[in-house]
Amino acid sequence: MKEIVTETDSVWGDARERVGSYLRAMKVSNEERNEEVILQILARATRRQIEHPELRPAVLVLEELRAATARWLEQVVPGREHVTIADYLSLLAVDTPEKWSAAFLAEAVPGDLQRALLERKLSAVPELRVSSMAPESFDPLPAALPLRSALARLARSLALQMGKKTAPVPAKSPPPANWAP
Amino acid sequence: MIMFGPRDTAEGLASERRWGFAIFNLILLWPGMVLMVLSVSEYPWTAGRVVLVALYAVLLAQAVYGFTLAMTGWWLLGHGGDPVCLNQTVPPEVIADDLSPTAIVMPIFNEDVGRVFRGLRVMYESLQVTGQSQSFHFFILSDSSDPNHWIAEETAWFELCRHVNGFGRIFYRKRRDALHHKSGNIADFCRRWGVSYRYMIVLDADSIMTGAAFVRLASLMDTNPQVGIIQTHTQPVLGRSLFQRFNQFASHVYGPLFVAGANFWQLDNANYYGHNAIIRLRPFIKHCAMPELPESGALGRRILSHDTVEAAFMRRAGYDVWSDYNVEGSYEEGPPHLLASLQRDRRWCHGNLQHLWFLFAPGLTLCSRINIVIGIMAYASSPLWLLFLLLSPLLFLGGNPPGISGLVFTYVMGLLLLPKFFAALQRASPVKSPYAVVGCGQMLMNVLAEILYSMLLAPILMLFYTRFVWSSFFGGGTKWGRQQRADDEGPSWRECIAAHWGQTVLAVAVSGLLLWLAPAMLPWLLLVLLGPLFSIPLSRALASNALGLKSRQKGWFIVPEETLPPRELQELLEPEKSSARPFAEIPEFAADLGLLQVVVDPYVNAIHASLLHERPQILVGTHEYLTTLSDRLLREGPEGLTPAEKRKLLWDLDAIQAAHVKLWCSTTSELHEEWQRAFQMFNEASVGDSPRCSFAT
Repeated sequence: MKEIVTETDSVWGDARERVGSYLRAMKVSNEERNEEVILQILARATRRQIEHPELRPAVLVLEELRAATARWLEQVVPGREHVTIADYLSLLAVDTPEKWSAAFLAEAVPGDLQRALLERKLSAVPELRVSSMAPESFDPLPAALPLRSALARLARSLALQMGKKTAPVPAKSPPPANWAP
Repeated sequence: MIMFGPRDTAEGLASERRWGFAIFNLILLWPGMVLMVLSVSEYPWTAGRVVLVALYAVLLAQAVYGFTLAMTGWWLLGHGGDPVCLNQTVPPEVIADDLSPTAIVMPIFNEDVGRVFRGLRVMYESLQVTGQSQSFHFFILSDSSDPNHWIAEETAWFELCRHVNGFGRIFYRKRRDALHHKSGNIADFCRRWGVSYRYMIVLDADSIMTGAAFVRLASLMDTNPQVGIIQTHTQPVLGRSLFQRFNQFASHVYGPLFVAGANFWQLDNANYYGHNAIIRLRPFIKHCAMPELPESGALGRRILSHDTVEAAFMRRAGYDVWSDYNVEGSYEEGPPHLLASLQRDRRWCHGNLQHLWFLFAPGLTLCSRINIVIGIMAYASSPLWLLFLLLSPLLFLGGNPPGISGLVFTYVMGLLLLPKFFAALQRASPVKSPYAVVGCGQMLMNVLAEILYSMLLAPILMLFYTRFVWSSFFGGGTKWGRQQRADDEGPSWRECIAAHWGQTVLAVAVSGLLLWLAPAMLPWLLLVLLGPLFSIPLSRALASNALGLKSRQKGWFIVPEETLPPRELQELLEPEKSSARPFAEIPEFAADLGLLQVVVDPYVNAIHASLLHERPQILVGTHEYLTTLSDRLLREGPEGLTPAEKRKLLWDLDAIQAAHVKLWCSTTSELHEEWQRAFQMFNEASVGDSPRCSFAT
């Protein structure tokens, strides 16, 4: 018998594929667990679509996946005010997808995973300890300063002499009529 | 000054050595000058001939200095080494324990990401073996301006940390503005984290140091609190092209003589070469910040070459600067070919000439000033040589060259070449080194070949350096660019012709003129003309990896690290485990690969986003602008945004996250076709055989 595929089926099928791709891209590679997670996410997304029919399934599943991951992380790493992107990364840093593949988004969180995540301090840089590193004043040619000023004096006097011979220094011109102090 | 005895004795020893060294230089200078004066005296003295003799005096002094260095080093190494060296303060059998905290920093700028992180992995693992790794932290200090490099570095950092469990020990920092280039990069590290560490070991992007070398350096610093900088003798290794193999052979065979000779007179006032060295951070932060140069002329503004000045400032602050050539396990890879080397030389030339500003700066020691002069003369001597070579035939036109000039020539050549033969004999002697396997005969042949190479190359370098010096003074500044460190292809014929045609034409013209006007001078100047005449094929041949490989197979220019490679170098050569992300190798995505990966790949996006700072608050206008950019990126494709706009997006956590989520939630009609292709390929690569995700419309 020929299977009838409706547009709704196709759209939800694509949404399902997208969740699968996203999980694999995040290196969550336990296919069995992935299937369970995908079904959970789809179930939540279909429930939400009743309340928000204007949202596309692809949007709903992605939002649900991220929300579910955030909730799970809050449970896994207790004591955090809010889950940060670094927490997501910590999951990868401790090889959660490979070592605890069955635990991903599961209710029962292994104690050793919790410990590993708490111990893993994922930071690209250590804590700042700011200090000042300012250059000292730099005078490249202190020895040449007297020479430089002597040359400048000589040049000035030469310019004055030349000025006397060639053209007299113009008298100070009067200020323009509209000039005001 | 380090205390090898009572302080006044130590300072007296340094003084004696320096006087002795200077006198030996003068003794050797004397006969060379006498011969030259006698030679020129066969003709009437004119102003031109006086200038010629003056030029000769400067150039001879440089040759004599090199000869004295090498022969002093040869004598010291032949007699069990220098008794006064820093390495002796910590006996090799002492096992270091509880070392002071040390940061190993590697500033990078658009480097080959794979090579950089492979090297870091090798060094990190080597350090682990020593059992002292708890005292060391690694810092990758990125100034990369290319987003593709930036994103690749972040991913490589994360992968490296995962691989070696290095989180909290290997750090990555990207600067938004690469202010003041490398010195600014290091200074930025010092300001942010410098007080957390007692020492800093500076590496280049192509540096390799063994864990034992790191431990040794920290141990030497702990033992000698008056030492500010220890510079290791860095050996070039892993040469593949003929150019690299010539250079690494010369450095291995002749280099030790020169560094031992330099240590003889410099002692606690040695130089710093910018990498593979350890620095005491507190005095460095306090005294070695680079000042802005006066705004006058092409050599003003920001200093390009900081190392020599930092060494001088450290010495001025009362701390010792030592060159410890006995620390083993300090390596680097040289530039792959002549043109890449010249690219680096251009920057160095400008930087060294900028040191003129510091020559008369107050408070520097005489030795520091001499180090500055030596650095300047490394490039400034080229125009002097050119002038000398141009003047010498002009002044003797119409007649035969003076008879005694044969003796002058022999004397200068002796100064230049004798150290090479002495070095070769010492290195090939059966008990001394791994060169024993090469044998004296083969070593001699290698040295002769290297001399031929140097003779052909020297005039080419002279012409280039003359141009660099000229452009440094009159032709505007030199830009800071990425250093070319590896090149599988080498320069094309077209590139070689573009670089060398002027020299070839000049050499042909000069040869023709000489043949016409002063044929007796031609044999004398042939040595200088041959290199430029054949510079195009020579440059191309030197860049050849095939010729390099063949020379190695035939046993030519072998260095100990090839016959008995240390574990670290072997590991560096191991094939890389591919960690390339999907579509990393697809040419059509190459231009905006980093941006594509951040937006499409959740894994890369998570890494990138985690390294950005959350904005505590954002102006409404800025938020709207970035949202618009994010929308445009998806609608118009990466090509629709300017490079500056792409960088703004990549620097904003919210905007780049929004673009990522939007892409994954979008339909085909909402996306530019490049995103469609990228997304499709990404799914194909990550899903493998599974049905790929298609876009719902």
